[in-house]
Amino acid sequence: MVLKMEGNVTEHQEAVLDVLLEKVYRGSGYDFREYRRGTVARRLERRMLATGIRTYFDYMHFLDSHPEEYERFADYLTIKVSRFFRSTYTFQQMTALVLPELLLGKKRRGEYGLNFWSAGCAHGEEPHSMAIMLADFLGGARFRYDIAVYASDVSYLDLDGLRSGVYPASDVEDLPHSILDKYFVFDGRNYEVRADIRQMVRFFNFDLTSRDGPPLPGMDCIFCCNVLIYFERQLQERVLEKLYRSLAVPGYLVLGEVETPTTALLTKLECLDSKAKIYKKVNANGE
Amino acid sequence: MVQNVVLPEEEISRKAGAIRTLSLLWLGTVAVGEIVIILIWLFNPFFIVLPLTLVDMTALAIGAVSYWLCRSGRVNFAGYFFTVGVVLFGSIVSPLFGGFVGPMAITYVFAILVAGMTINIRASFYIAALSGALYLATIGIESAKLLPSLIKPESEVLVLPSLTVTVRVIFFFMAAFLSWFAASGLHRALQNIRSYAAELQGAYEKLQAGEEELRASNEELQATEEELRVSNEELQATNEELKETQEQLIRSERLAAIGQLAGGVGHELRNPLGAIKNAVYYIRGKLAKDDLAEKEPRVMEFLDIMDDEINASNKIINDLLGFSRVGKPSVLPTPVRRVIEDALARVPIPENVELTKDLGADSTQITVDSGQIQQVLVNVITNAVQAMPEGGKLTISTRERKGFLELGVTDTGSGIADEVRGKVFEPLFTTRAKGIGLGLAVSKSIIDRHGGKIEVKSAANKGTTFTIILPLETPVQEGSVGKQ
Repeated sequence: MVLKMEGNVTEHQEAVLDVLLEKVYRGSGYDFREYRRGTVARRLERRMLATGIRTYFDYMHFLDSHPEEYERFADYLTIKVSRFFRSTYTFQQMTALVLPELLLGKKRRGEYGLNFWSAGCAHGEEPHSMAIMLADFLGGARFRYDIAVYASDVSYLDLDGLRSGVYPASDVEDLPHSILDKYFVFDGRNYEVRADIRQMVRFFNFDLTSRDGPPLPGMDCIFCCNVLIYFERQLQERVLEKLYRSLAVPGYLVLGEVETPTTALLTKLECLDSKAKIYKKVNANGE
Repeated sequence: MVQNVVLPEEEISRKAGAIRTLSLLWLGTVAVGEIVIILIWLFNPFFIVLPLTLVDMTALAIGAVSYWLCRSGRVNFAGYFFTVGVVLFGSIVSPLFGGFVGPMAITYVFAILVAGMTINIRASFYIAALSGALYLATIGIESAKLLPSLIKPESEVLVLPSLTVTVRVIFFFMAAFLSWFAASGLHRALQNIRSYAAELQGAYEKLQAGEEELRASNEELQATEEELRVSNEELQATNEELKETQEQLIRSERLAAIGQLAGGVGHELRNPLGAIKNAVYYIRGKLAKDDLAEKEPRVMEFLDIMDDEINASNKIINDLLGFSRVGKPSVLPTPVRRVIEDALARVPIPENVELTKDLGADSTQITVDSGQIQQVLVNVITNAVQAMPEGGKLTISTRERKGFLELGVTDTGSGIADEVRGKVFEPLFTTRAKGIGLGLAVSKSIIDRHGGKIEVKSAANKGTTFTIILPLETPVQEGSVGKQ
């Protein structure tokens, strides 16, 4: 079997890949069976290159002899690319459209809990950005609210590292000084997210693709950016349905730049900004 | 390709480090040497303490100046100075103390090391060659007895061994120190390379992950685009359907309006026509007994014409009323053959038209409103006959296919022109001088209500075929008394 780096898999390879993913699922519980084929093939091939393994079969043997490889494989396959305030426009629209509306509603109903969720949080840049956005928007009023920014991802090698909120200078250098000075502490080498921001963020392990129900009901706002792009349509539908069910009414769903809700879901959501990919759940129908 | 792994600044700082270390080492060695000299002198007053101290001070000066030069930033110059200084020192000191077998010749080794570490490897070879030449020259100078020996022959036995031992021991440590220095430098360099490599690997991994994200995004975009295309096509199809339905609606609305108007007018005309018909009947009765009929035979003829035209008018009115009143068919299972026969009985077939019946499925029962279907057949057959004023062939065929009955009426008449073929089923469309153009419209409306289809195929001057397709079981439930 010859590996092709382009991710074009032949039918035979496709079948072997199925077996491999089935094995990974049974061996570790990580379920990549409905991930986009091209991504899986390309990432697996890179991982094989790094470990010096030539064929899928050899890799399966390698998994048997090195069970810790399951974790590495999962980590390698779940691509964690993120930056603080990655989509500037989205965050801008969040503060311009969503937050004023959301807070007004909360005030009217006399509620003081704000529940946000970053589904697929990578190295924590997104949930921390969300917490900073909330803190920045609310100012002193922040302390009147009970704010929780939940942050989940499928695999972590270092949950404590995430909670410590320490980032190398290169990760945050591009941020404006108004944010950097206010919400980060520089220790001469690294930047640390300030403790009061960190305390808002609650990291936990969760596999969005699992068949379990939504883990967090009643979310006011869910960010799920550049997660769906790695999934096949069917899985996208399932995940979106889960996110939809997690949303409160009203609730806001924020997707990545190229992602869109499935047609079925689109009818249930109101699009607030098609460029920023902000959608609003307006009523509880269809549940 | 990585060529300049070591940057110029780093090279300079490495050299500076080497000069600092070596010059301090040199100074330390000289200091230790001086201490040893003084110690020996203390035990032995005959020891040549002054010349040796002078030599020592020269060495001290060389080391100190090199160190100071290096410190003040003139690193390259310091390197040259140090190397040349040590070579000159060696070349002067070694002949003075014991000659070419004496203890001080080892100083050249240090000079070579200094050249290698503070200038470059090539310089160390030059210095090695220079040192070799100077060292060999010592032999000549010594054998020619050109140089005064500082050590008097009688104290040689005392001074030379102790000097040799001291210098060698010092050099042992110097060698150890230098090897440590070189090794630690190498180790540091390796570690640097390792950390660079790890950094590079990390950056590469990040790049790869970024690229994968881009690819996945691209695939997602493509998939979304594909979906959009499909849903767009779906939308277009739906749109088309909607347009079709709308047109149909307009058509049936028009039909309904026409039907209403026609029904009203027809109904109003029926009574006067009835009165005229009665009047004609009365006049004919009266005239029959009169001799006017014999004198003027044309009177009777005109009365016949009036009668015919009244009947024709009645038929038109019936068509109009029929059209406006085509109600839901009340269906009953009927043999196809009987429907056709009944229809044929109502249309007089001229003698010059040859009738062929190809009733393939003539025992078939069909659940229809036989009256309405008969009317359709009468309309179609009448059309066919009228299309062949010069005579021709009329073929009526039936065929059963997949739960449907196909009924064909074919003539060999003038055919229908292409441009009007699409309009033949529209109400009020006619190509004949006589007729109001309702027959086929009514027919289509009836067939539609039976859940069937009526189609026309025609070639100019070759003939026309009307095909009526009817489901064997009409899906109309209301009013049907069919088997249930």
